[in-house]
Amino acid sequence: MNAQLKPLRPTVLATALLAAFAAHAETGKVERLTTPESSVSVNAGIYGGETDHYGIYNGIGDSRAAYWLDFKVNELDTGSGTWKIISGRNLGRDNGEFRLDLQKQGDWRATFDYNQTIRRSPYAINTGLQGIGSAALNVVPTSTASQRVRMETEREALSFGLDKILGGNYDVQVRYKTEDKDGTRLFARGTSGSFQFLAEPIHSTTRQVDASVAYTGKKLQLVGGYYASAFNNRNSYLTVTETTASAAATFNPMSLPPDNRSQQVYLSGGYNFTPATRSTFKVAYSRGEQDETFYPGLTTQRNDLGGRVDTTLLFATLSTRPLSKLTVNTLLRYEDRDDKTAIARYFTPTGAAATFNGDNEPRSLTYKQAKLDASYELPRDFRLQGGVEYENKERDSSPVHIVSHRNETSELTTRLELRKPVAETLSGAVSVARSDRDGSDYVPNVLYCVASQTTTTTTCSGSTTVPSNKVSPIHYADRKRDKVGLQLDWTPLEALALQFVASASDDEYGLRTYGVKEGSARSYSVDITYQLSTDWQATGWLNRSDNKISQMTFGSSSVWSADLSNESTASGIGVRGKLGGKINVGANFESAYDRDRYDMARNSGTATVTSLPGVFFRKNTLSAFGTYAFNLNTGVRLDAIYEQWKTDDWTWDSWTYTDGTKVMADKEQTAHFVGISAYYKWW
Amino acid sequence: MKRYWLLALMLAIGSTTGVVAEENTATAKTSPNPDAKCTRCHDEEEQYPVLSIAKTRHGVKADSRTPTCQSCHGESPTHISKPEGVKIRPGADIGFGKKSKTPVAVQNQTCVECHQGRKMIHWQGSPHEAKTVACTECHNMHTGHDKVMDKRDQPEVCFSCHKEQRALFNRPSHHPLKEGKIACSDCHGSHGTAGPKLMLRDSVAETCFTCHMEKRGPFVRTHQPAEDCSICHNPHGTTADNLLKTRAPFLCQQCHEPTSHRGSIPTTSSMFGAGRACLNCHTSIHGTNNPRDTTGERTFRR
Repeated sequence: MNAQLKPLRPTVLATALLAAFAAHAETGKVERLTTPESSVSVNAGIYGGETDHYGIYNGIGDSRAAYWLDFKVNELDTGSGTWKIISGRNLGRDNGEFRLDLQKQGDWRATFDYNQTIRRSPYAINTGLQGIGSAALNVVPTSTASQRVRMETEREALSFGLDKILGGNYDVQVRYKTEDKDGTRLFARGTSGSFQFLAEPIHSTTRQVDASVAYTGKKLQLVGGYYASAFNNRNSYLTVTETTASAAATFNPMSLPPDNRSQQVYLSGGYNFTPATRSTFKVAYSRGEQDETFYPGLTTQRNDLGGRVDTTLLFATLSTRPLSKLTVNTLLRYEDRDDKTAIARYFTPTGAAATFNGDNEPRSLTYKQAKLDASYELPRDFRLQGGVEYENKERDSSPVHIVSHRNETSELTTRLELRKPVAETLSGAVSVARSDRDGSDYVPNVLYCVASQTTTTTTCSGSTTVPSNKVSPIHYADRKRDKVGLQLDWTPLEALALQFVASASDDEYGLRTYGVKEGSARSYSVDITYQLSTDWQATGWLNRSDNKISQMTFGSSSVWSADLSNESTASGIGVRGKLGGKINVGANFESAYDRDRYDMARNSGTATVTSLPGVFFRKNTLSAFGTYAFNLNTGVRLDAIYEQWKTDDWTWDSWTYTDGTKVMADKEQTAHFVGISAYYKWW
Repeated sequence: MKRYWLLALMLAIGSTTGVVAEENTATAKTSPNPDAKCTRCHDEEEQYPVLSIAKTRHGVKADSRTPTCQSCHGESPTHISKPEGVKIRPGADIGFGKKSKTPVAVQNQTCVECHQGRKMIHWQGSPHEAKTVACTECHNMHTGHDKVMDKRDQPEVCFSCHKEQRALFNRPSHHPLKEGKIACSDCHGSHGTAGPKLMLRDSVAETCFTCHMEKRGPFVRTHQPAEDCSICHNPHGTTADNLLKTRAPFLCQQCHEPTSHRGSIPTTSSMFGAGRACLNCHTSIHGTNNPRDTTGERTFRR
């Protein structure tokens, strides 16, 4: 085991913390119950085994040993009502965070947060690519040179908050957040016969500010504010060169996400007409813009997109209790996303057949929703709830488009539920819902003509040898959905609580010729909590779900279909308790198993259609802890984690980029962790 | 290094703000406050730690807005002074928790009396309120550590009802919720919002953009389903990489006409099934700002 020790900064910090804040002698019971608790713990641990999958988000670096500091200094001056909370977690590791929270309750508050999130790809990549991390890449065949790399991204976020309560029920709030994201991400370029691995350089900053003023009265509440956000990418485009000529060379440079920004003004509020009737609303107007200059050397009508999307939101609800046993809720929503980006012809297509005309394609969306729910109290605390919901979406599209389009879809949902709210021994709910979606006629792909056809400026003529205009996109398609749900909470004994949740839904799509035909989802779960004794508790749970979707398409002169399914079983069992007055112990075992199937069949034609192999994922995690309290203030804690991960995912097995790059995943991994902490707490 | 000088700065600020908690040796029994009539019985020997409310913002008496015991639990005269001839002391006028006989609407109204503004504006009629979820099903008042307010513990509270999501977060591609880096409340406003599915922002896409702003555009070439990220992605967890609901080409073939190569039959070694399948070429799938089309770049290949 190669354990490279990290510098002992956490220990230095721990000492500084203890020196900065007065240590407290052992405290009485009342003080412990009524005074906020502060703590600091110094931690050390060792990771072993294969941690590629276990360490995706855990901040495990190349070093197997880790030291980190957790602390929370939680002080309250009861005389003035002033809080001072300083906390830190995982300090010394790559996923650290800390927070400063100062508040004079009822008056003002200031917060400061730092948060670091790291994501390490579980894939190891053997590649000759040069310049990884930069915006200038050079594709070098692995036969010439190769290295093993692992993609990762790191986010560092700083947030500030200021609150001030003004007089007369007014308060003001300002929130500001800036986040840097750096790293690399799996990227590529390719055309038939030539596929090159690339690493997208990620070096960007997002900034968000939200400033609002609120009025909170007994009857009327209002919040008016301004929200702005901006994305800045240090790299506008990626240049890619290669040492061996390939057909993919034409894809250079490559566009990267452009800078963009958005501003929104909003007003939200509520009014209590009576104790039984309340209305709420929100109106908002946003403008999003993107006008990053295109990369150099282009000859186009414009130097930038001049992108602009204006969004208007109108939202209102009414809740009322016209009778003592009857509650009615209504909701109206109107959202208009108006893409006002200027349309320009950026290139002139060559050839007669095309699904494009060189124009950019702004996309606007208008979304309308109306909902009515009613709830009636029945005897013995039962409640009958019913509702109707209507959704309408209008979308525009260019007259020339590659995917089938319809201008409007509408969906009507009706639901009924019988519920018994939380009660001493038995509560639950059973529900049914039905949704029906349809829409306007599909707009043909105007210029989509195959080679055997001739094209006018607006239509195709001649025979068709390859089908088109045949698919209902899944989110446009006519669909009937039936859904049932059941939830039961039962406490047959004081010490035993059981919970059962089940749901089932079936989707039937209005198939044009191809596309999705039908789908289904089944889910069941059982939870058990048992108080073994005053000091011991056991829990267990089981989740099982089955999801299926069937779809059909045309390829290789044949109609073929795919029945896709996912079967998932997840479970957990845990126990925790006390051994004597000083020792707490606990253990938890969780298991997750997923199996994906890709059953494929030929419906007509002569093509060879073979089902793809199924894929399973299995993860078993055993964790245990024990704490020993030397006294009320100090103690130690031991943690142990053992995780097994296994899969037969073939995705990368047979895939080699034409430059020789290979992506590899360790399909069976066992990771373990042992850690020890020393803590001190005070009040 | 940035994180360490920031921590040092915060420690310096914290050390110099001049707030040092005074030792509070007074017991609740002798404290001259309106709660004394309650804490004479519900004292430090109570198995349920009622006194721990003093660790919370609800227990800060210096703030005139904070409640007394009776503000939440009602005047409860018969509970304080058991009437003559009554064998079993009646409970408080308003009780909370699973065993409470108080209707959920009454329990919640107690909280709403104070918590009605800002993010509570849309509570009435919101999905949780409409399903008679009591505030105390998620929140615990009498503790210095309300689980739902801590992002590491919050998922456990949400998973007590949302079982499907509990299973989804075990899948190989998932947001770092179980790792404690984000919480359910980073995307959802459980008290009611103007967004669909309790999204914090006004739409699913706007909520996703708060962390994934590089996908916002607009772009020269926009991928139409990007109007709603949940058309292709399941943010809670998937078996396919990048939170995709299913792998390419199947996902893509749910929308695309079977022309050219789009209806191709995938195999484990072909460009349509192996590696990133369609995304081996169409890598800028959310949209591209490249206006060229020398070799079909408009199709998100560049």
